[in-house]
Amino acid sequence: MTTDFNCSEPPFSLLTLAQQDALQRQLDIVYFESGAQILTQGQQVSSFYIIIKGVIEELDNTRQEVFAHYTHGDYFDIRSQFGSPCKHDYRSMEETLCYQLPTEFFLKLTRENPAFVDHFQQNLAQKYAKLEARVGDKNLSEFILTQIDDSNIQPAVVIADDTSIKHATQMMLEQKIETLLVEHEGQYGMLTGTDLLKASVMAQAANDTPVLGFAHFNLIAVAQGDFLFNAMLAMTQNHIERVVVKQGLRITGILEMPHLLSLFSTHSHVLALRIARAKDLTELQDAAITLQTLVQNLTNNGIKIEFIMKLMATMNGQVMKRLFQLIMPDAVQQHCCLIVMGSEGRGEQIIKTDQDNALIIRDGFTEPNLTQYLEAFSQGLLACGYPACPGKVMVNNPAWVNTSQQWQRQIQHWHQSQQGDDIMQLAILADAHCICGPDALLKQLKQTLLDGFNQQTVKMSQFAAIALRFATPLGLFGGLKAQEDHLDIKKGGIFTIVHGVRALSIEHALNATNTIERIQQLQKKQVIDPEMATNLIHTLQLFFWLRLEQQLGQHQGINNELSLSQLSPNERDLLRHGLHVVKKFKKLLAQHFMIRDY
Amino acid sequence: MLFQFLKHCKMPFEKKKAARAGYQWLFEPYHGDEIVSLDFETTGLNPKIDDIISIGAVIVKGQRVLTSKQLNLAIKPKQVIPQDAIKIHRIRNQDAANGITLEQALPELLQFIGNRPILGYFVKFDLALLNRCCQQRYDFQLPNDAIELCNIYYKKVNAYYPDAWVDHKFETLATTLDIPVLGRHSAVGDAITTALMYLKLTYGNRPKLM
Repeated sequence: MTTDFNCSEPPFSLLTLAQQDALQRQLDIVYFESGAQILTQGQQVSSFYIIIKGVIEELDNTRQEVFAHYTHGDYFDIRSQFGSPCKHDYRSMEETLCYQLPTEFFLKLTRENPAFVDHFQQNLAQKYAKLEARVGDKNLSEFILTQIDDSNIQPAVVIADDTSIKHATQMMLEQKIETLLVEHEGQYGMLTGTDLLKASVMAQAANDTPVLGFAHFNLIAVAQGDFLFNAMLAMTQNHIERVVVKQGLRITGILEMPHLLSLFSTHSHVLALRIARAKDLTELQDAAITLQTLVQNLTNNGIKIEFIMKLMATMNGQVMKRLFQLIMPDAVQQHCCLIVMGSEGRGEQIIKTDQDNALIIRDGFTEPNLTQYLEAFSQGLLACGYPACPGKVMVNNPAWVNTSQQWQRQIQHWHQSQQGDDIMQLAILADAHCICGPDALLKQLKQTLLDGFNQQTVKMSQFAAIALRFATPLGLFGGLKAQEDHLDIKKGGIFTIVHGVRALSIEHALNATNTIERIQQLQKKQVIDPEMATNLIHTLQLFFWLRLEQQLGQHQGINNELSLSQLSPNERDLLRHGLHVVKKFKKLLAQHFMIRDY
Repeated sequence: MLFQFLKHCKMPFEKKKAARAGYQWLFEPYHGDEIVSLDFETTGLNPKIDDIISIGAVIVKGQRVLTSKQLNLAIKPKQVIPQDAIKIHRIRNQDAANGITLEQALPELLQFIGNRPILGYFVKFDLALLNRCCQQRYDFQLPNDAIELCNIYYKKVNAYYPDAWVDHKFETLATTLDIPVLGRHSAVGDAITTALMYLKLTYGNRPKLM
């Protein structure tokens, strides 16, 4: 009991006390200087190592490919303990201390203790799959990832446009369906039971009237094979309760809200409806507050981060839109465009962190009470749980409420200015996304913004250089560099990717605001190669995921600090790889924009 | 230097005395790659009067600390352990009462150390104490080479920061060298930590002061 070896964690906690004691007696401590070759590909191994301190890298010597990093509490090399030659090289990336256990003794333990050996065999198979298949309620995630197919849609019954109301009603009753498709000159329209009810009771139509006049054309469709989740999003966004399912151009069936709801066990859908139907601020507030719980549920249920982000962006947008509609008179709604910027604009705000918004007023439109309305709007958002923006990028700040012309001048002013703050304002505006009101107003502004950068290599370089401002928290030898166990993931990784991608997409005049969409478009334009694009997307999602997981664990205050000790060795490993991607991306940016010193 | 020379001159006489106790083999020159890291917990800090209450020793072979071959002995002291000492190493009188006698422990320790060099933190103190015991029991003093951790540390640091005042506190050394302190103030824990610091100083990068 004198080596301070910690037996309280699996797999060593699976040993009996006597075995643990024997293990303690067999341990040596070995020191490796930085860069030492510990095991070589193909060699027979006589020891099992458990890392006390330092970082070990596993790599394929012939292909120069790094497989994994190991650090405190990790062990290696498990495969070669059972007699096969060592598959990869193991090298120390920094000075490293390891416990060294003779293979003979390790094998003795595995013979004596089946649970102990099971742990290793299981661990080996699951090592890389673990993070993907997170534990949780499998049913829900299975449902969410279910695709639209014949088993979960209702058949589309098509009738001719001259079918009578009576006949249509009969068909519905007989076939126990709520919706019929009406064919009219090659187009399809939807006819629901409610439509028929309206027709006969409200419009007093005769029983033999053709149904054509009561059907709705302009159908919203989803593709067969798409995720059920997306069908739900389509309904939420369009405030409808049915979508048609298409395969190519052919309609294959109908998905109905009640049917979807019966499949769905979360409240996300109900919540979207509550937001859309909120009659006053209190109702909206109640709905908005529960968004946080929804995120928590979805995360616990193992839903993928990209879906959560998509859903939350829609939901947040809905809240703001509804609030705007509740507060503003109709005239304002018609002539003013409410935009959101920053993370919300990019659709990357999962936890409500701040309200970054602004207003574009159509030239010539005036409303004497606008200031009061806007103040009420900002207060309303605050009540719904969106904290005020520390940089005062909010509609109750007159600087962010301008007419179209004023905005144009402001953007030109920012373009001419050389100050870092002004460049950052452009960056903020570049992510703007229209929530409600005339979209065209925002489009004009964005065009001005993009034009200002067009062919301005020096300015573009200045703009992009901001992405390189923060150091990537990696040590000299590629290990994680944390300050007192904390690592600022926003400064260290997220900002660099987001801003770098933003700069590239401004340069190529892309319309997308979401970082992942931007990366995909940049890849299509062959600005970044497919490998880099995939890596960046995965890395960004990983960073968002790790941040979300820790933010949900905190009881108060939202920050961007990751606590490394709370990460599993596997997650730490992924984080390290992610940061290496960031580092590589920085090099690409520096080269692309010809940024000399950073 | 002078001290080493004198010790050398004394050696034939010491060897003769050791032969009487059957320990002349300790005087053979050592040719291996092992050293012994040694630490005692004591009743006080005066090597002339204080007693050993715990012996910790571990062999260092190449870059490995053979913690699997460690010596960890509890000794029953001939005097009462004073309060101040108990506060440091937390070995109470009733704990020490279960130990073996120094007469039983000494042969085991000498067998363990053999003719290997002895490494320690302020090793002079431990050697003085050990030599006093050997002198009393067997009438000879140990010939082993001594390696002082603080000296190595000082040389490394001083070459780089010639003007710096070098703090030699055990914890400071461990922090500067970024070595985890294993079981501080247990004799064997300190011996292991000392051994690790020695390896880092010998094979690693030059230590950096804050």
